[in-house]
Amino acid sequence: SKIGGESLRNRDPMKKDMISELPEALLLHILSYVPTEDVIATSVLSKRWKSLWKMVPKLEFKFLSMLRIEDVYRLLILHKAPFLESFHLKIEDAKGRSDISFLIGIAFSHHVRELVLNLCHDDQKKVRFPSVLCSYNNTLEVLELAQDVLLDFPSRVCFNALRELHLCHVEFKDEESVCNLLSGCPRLQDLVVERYSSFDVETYTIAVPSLQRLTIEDDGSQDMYGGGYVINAPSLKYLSIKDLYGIDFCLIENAPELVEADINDVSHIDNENILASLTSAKRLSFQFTVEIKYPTGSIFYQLVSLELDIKGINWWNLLSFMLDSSPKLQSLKLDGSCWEDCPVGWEWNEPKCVPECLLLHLETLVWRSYGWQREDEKQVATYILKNAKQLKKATFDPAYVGPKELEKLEKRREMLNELASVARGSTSCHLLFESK
Amino acid sequence: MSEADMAIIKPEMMMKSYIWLETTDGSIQQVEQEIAMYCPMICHEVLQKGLGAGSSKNCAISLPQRVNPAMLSLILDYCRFHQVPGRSNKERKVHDEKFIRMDTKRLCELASAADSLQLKPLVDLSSRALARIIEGKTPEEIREIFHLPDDLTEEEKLEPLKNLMDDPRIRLLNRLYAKKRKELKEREKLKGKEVEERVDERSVDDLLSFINGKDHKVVKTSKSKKKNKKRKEHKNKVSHNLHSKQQGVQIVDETASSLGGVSNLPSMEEDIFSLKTDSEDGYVDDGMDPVLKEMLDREVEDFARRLNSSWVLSSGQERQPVHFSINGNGATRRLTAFQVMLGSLILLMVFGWQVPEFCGVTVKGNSRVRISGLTGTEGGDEWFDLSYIILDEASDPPKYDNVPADREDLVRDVLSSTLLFPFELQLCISELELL
Repeated sequence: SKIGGESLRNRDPMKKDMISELPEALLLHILSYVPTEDVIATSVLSKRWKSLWKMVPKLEFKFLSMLRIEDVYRLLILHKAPFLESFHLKIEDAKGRSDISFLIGIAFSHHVRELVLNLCHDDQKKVRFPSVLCSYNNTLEVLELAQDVLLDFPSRVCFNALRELHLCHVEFKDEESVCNLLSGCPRLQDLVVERYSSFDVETYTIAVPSLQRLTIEDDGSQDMYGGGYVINAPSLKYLSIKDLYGIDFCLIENAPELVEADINDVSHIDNENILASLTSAKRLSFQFTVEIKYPTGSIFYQLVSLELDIKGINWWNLLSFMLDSSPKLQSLKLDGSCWEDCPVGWEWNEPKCVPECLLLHLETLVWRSYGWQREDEKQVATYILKNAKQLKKATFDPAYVGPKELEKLEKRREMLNELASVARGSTSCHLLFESK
Repeated sequence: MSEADMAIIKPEMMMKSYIWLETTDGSIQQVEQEIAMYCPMICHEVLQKGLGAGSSKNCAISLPQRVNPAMLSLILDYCRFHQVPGRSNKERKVHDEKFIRMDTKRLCELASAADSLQLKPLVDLSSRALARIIEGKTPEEIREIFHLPDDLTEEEKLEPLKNLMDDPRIRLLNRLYAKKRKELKEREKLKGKEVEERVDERSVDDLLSFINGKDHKVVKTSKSKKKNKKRKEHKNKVSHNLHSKQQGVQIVDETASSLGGVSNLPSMEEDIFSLKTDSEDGYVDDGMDPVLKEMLDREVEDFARRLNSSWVLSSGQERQPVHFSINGNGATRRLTAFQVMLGSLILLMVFGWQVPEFCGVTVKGNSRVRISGLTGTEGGDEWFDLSYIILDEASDPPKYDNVPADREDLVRDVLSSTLLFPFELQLCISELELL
């Protein structure tokens, strides 16, 4: 009874164990958030905890710590959980590498759902991922491979449950391997590729009917040129491409379901194709360092939000094009230049007719790093303020001036006042100057 | 109540409906329906028991034992915040971070109560908080925080660190082997055979001579190189022991380091040949299974007769790599080369990975390879013996020769079916040595 319990508590000097009485499933759940080394350490806590660690379905081995490959084996022997939710392996010592197939095999046999493999060493020797294990797998849902892994798939793999795949600086033996891997994942939704272009294959073909999210990060700074990407993903919703330097082409085939695309730091390629394939997007974000070709006739018929980095050459032409081609645009964000002066002989041809979006839809304008000293930015800003009839809020975050530079500050204030006194197209427009 | 009263009260009651909840201490409280229904357990109860459940004091929904009134109140606060649809993710996060700040005891109670009400987001939240408490602390600190009894003996505490000298892969092998012997024993018992006790009288040196201390290779491309081995000194001993009783245990050794020092050998030898296994596994081994021993003896003799002289390796001779190929989709992939040791018997363990096509074993030249493994069937594991397979790299599928009649089906099945044996050990061996 309550009373009895209370007095017992008062009398009893020993404090009651708070946690060991929890159901085992709950204890395992708690331990699954604890790093593996600490989990193993719980084996010395008390009788109740002695064997608990063996059932935690998450194993994470990072060889930075005191663990050696022998220890991993020992632990795997002792480990009793029939299923592994997640198996993380980060191996940095050369000896451990040769056991990869072994360890992956063990993980697969425990029906692992998430496998993360990070092999990173100074000697840059590649370790082959055991392709034989990939011919039939029904449980793996997330696979992350990073660094110094060689992928050689002479025949199509079968990863029936794979949803998420991260390939970070891994090496494919040939283009066939790329194809055999990607086409063997019928449920793949999320693909992240980080690589150096042309490092392993010339043409990187991503043909995945089920793919919804694609991220490509191609660091071309490794002095490799040529090659490119072919992306064929009809279910694609989210696309992010970064740092495509020095490649020859990036063909994106039709992506009618596209919701959002983020293209950053893309240059030296035939960019016309890229823009043309993004016409279904609702949100776009671009950063082009060189002038690109504009796919004339393309209309971004669903585009509602646009973010443009305007540090590139002739950026205003891109802006004009986008304004003309995006009838439904509601929000425009611009990232301005830090450079003081606009190029000599610049010329911006104002659009012949005011773009539809300015007349009917544009409600928000945000201009970061607004280059108040630059004629080009000033002119464009003025044009927008004059013509955007539905504009509700325009925020300018002017380019930075140090607090000691009084002359500059004065000049800036003058410029901003000038902007503010422009006759605005929208009577309800709220103009805001922010300084970060 | 009079009709008039009912008419007044009813509209108010209609706007908000309440559910009555009862905790194990007997106290009953009334909670807005949408808040209570945020808990899956309560939701199920209401749906299962029909409309009447929880609608009045008399038929209040009884909550699980782990939910005391204090915890219930906390949980309802949590539900009250989160069931409002309009909140942003950031708002929810900020709320949760504040919410979870409480002493450890309450945190444990909360996790327990949320768990019994099946409120997963709160279970995750409290579990993470408890995990943060456990992480990075010494055992003493953890015991202190949670008031855990220090009831393990010193020996028990050291258990995971036991047998530091052993190569754990060997112990895995031992465990598998012990399991297999047990099964064999049982099968033989069923057949009514007598079990003889035999003592293994081989010298320690003989046994030790089988221990191989090679490195194994990383498989990179199809052009893997053969490594030189340190087996020369073992050659003679092994061939010398060909006809003596031999144990069929295979030692798979991969890293030289684990067997590097001589000091490692005794304990390993002890472990392997006395077949001690981890006491946790519950296998008690006091020696070689006599039945299996008999089988192995027979095979040794058999093999000696059929020995193909071109295969005889003595010191300094050519070593042939064994390639384990998986014939999936018609392509032969060389996985790794196998290193097999131990006298005349080559025992390979074939591990089940779920390959719908068969797995074959390819050995260059004519050699006799004995392959054992486990195949899972509905009833359980069956240890098969694919001896007498003649392996020829060119043959696809592998041919098998002199397979005993009653084994033929099994061999075919195994080669063509999915091996379901839990993938406990995948060998990465470097070379085949045959004597």
